[in-house]
Amino acid sequence: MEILQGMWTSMAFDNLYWGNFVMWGIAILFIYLAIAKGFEPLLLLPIAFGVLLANLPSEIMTPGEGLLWRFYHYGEEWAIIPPLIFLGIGAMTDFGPVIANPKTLILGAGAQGGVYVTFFGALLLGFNVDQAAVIGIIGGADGPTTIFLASKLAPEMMGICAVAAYSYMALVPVIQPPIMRLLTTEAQRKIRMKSLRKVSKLEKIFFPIITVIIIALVVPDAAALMGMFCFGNLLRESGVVERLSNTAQNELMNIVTIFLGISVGATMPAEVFLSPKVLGVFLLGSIAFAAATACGIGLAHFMNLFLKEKINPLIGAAGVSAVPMAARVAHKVGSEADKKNYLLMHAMGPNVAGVIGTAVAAGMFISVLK
Amino acid sequence: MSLPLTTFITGLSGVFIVMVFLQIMVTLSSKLAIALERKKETEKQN
Repeated sequence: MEILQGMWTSMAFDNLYWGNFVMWGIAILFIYLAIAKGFEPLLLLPIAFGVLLANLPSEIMTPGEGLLWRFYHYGEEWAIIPPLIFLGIGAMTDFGPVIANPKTLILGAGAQGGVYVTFFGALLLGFNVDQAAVIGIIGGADGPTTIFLASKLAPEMMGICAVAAYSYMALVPVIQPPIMRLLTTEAQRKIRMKSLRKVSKLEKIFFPIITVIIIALVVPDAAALMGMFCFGNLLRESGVVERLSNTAQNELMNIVTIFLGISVGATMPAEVFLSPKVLGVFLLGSIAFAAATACGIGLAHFMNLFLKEKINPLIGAAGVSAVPMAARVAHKVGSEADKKNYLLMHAMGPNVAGVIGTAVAAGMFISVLK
Repeated sequence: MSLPLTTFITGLSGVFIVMVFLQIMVTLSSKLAIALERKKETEKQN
């Protein structure tokens, strides 16, 4: 009997409570969504497993000892992984559409209006200023930036906001089209834009160099993200370091995605995740996306007041930085109005500009609030 | 001015300043790149 009692006490069953079971359910739901529905599986699957591990009674997240705590501490709290993800994104991004039509950079800024609408929404719901900034940045539709900002301002919000950001990124094709149709007339959706000119290799090499200099000078707090982003892009466009470019795009990106996902998931123990505030974050996240879409379209309408060659306002919605999904959605909604209207490349301009815009917005939050 | 209002004004204006500045510099750098490439082509032809 004593042996059995000893065995029982060495087991972890006594440390469970109802919240752990709820979190197991959530983890299994995420695994299901990733595998069966294909919702951002590259990140949702590691996040889901991290949630599961964090809600098993073990020392895996014990500060200073646990394996996942080490991933989290050195990867995210030290803000190493998000810039490495940006290195990969930079290596994967073709800035040709932005260089061919630099006006689209402004559209990338316009969509950041949603970040600030949500920032005030979060303040109204009782979140403090730092937490409100992290919730607001969900509207930028950029997971690594959300994690980066959370690590600097409100680490306790990191897991929830990351899951919200990635969940809504997967829902871009559902959230955006009704807002796009509501804020544009059919005639506006039919506007055809002139084909983009061919961009030379030298222009593409100049772009990351100029971008990093400007951003590091104006918003030094965004230098880590944008420095890696522009470095990755230079690896791609230089054409002389194909191996490095491929590594940044593939192997390195995959490795850091594993560490990012599992350690972000591990920041969601039941006692943190099962609070009314989480519902508030998800509600505000949807508002953030909707507001960012509306702000992007609104700015496109405003720009059309002054432009001789009108832009299709749908591409303004692509200013949220869910690349390339938001651009695809703009193209799809445009082609519903006019089957021969090819907006994809035009929408890629604001789409990649949105990545820069969100990183700059995050840098501005850090510079004011840190 | 309250902190949230400062954050809002500084943040949004900062984003637009960066993007406008970037737009100008990208336009200029494109012109420079095109000019350099034309010069190179002309030199090749000669």
